[in-house]
Amino acid sequence: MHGIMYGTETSSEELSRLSSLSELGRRALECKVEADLSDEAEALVRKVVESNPDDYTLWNYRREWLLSLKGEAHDRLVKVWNDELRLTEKALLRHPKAYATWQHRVWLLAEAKDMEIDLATRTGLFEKELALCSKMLKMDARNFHAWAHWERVSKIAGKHEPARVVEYTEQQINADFSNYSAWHYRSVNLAEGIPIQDKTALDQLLDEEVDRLRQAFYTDPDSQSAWFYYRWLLNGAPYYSEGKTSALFNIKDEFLKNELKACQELIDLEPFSKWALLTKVYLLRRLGREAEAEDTIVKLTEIDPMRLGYYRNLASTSTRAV
Amino acid sequence: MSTEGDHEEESKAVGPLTAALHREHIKQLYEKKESFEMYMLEHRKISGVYWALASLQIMDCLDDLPKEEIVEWVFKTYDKDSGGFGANEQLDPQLLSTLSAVQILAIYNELDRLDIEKVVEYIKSMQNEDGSFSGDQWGEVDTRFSYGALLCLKIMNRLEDVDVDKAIDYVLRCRNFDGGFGCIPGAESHAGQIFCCVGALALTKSLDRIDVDLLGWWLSERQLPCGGFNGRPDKKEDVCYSWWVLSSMAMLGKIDWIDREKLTEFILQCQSPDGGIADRPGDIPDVFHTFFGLGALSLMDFPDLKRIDPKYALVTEVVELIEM
Repeated sequence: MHGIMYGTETSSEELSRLSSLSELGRRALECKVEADLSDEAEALVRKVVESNPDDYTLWNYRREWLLSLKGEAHDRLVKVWNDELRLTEKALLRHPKAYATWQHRVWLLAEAKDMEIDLATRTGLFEKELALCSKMLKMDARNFHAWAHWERVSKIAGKHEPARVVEYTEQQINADFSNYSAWHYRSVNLAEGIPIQDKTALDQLLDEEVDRLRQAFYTDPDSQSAWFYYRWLLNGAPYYSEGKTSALFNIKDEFLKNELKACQELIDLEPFSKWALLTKVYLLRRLGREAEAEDTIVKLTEIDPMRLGYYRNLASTSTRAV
Repeated sequence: MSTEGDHEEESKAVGPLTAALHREHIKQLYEKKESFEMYMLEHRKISGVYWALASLQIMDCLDDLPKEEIVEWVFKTYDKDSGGFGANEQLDPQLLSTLSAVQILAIYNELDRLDIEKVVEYIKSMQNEDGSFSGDQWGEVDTRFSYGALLCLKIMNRLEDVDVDKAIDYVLRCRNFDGGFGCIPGAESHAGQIFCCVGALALTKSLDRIDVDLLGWWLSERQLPCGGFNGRPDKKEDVCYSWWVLSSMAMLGKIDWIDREKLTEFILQCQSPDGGIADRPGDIPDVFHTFFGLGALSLMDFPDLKRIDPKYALVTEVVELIEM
């Protein structure tokens, strides 16, 4: 079991709690099987999903129940939908990684749109969803469900706001350079967040990105998140759009030389920094300095013997800038 | 790194594979009326049964559990109307439960008992316009379902019944800056998701469409000093990633880019004194981690284990029958 220590025997109280929950679940399931959409049945199912959000069939029951309300007064639907959103939030706070609960929430939002239930006037729906994402990410900044929820909700709401995502990732990265999730979402939205035709703005962006990365490298040279992002940047930050791959930045040799210099400075301070050495190999090869790259690979095999096979392959593919 | 720590690391005794205890753990789980693990599996029991049987088969002791009883139970989860299987009796049909059911029947060489036309129809009905697959009739989309659908069809030898080109296009749209894959386009790379996407590409012979060196490198960086793998950068190790990362690397032909000896040691350290494998050393075991631990050991040719095929997650002798 994830993170439960051996020797913590399940107590008899815990087993009896699970047993009664399971019994309650069975009764709720009967309501589903018999298509019993009465108030009592609905309340029972609600109680069970709150504490057992993996029970996907009962979430299905709730969707069947919600759909049965079609045609009722708009005010009632707004209330029911908002109650249901609250139910999923409550369940998510208890079980932040329950697929079925996140999915139910996405369904509620999509269905509200289809059924023209106007939740937005009362709650500012899209903003409310982002607030939930933000709340969940405060509890666990790497919760990939919460990050993906933003994506899914943006699609439903038709709100594509790359600049806003870029800004949010900046806050997250500044708080913790090891937040790979934030670096990732930055990579997805960076190209769309700025006017690509503006050369000065692009140059400035590249400088800012490199400055931030440098801070990350000096804070913790062993944290790999920033290094992966850096490699992507050095590659020109390729991104996929409208069926083809384009590079956001036009990376010149002059820039690479500067980066190599900065990389070497870090190596002088931290001679065993694997990530700096690996980056040095990449930069040397980009600049056609193969012999020096080979020496650095030998060093890498010594300090990182676990990936010997990878380095051997790297050494044998000299023409490729891996 | 302190020298003291290094010594401690070296002196950690790594025991042998305690296969007999793992068999016992699985048997207990099957026979015992009440346990924490049993409750945890209520809503994904059919996957639990698959993990248990696949584990037993890797250890060459499939007969430990009663075949006929299990096959009959599998059909109790079948929904005749849709052609899908649920995660347990009376639970609604789902794509991933259907995959587990089909895998169980493949393990037992009982695929003939399936109404293949009906199951194919169910899977077909899950494919969306953009090539993606939903997990059930309620429309959740995720690359896990792309893999589940394609593998299910491949086992039944009916891949051509869905739009494979579109399915692969969708998977490729989920590729990221690091060469990995997420659950939907734009979502972060994650080793479990990568396993699904690489599996989907491998099953359809489409691996030439991705940068295998970039992805292989990212995957090799999942191995931590303890020997175990994490699923994303700057996260903790967990035995389940031993399977997801290593099987992906095996499909990409990059298995020698990591330290197999250290990974083996890590998995063996996660064995529980009472049988079963846990997520990390010292935690309580479960059948999910037991399967993923054994699967990874099998990929590394651990002695006395049957060889598993990374893209099917079934032992090779079962795959040979399927592909015959």
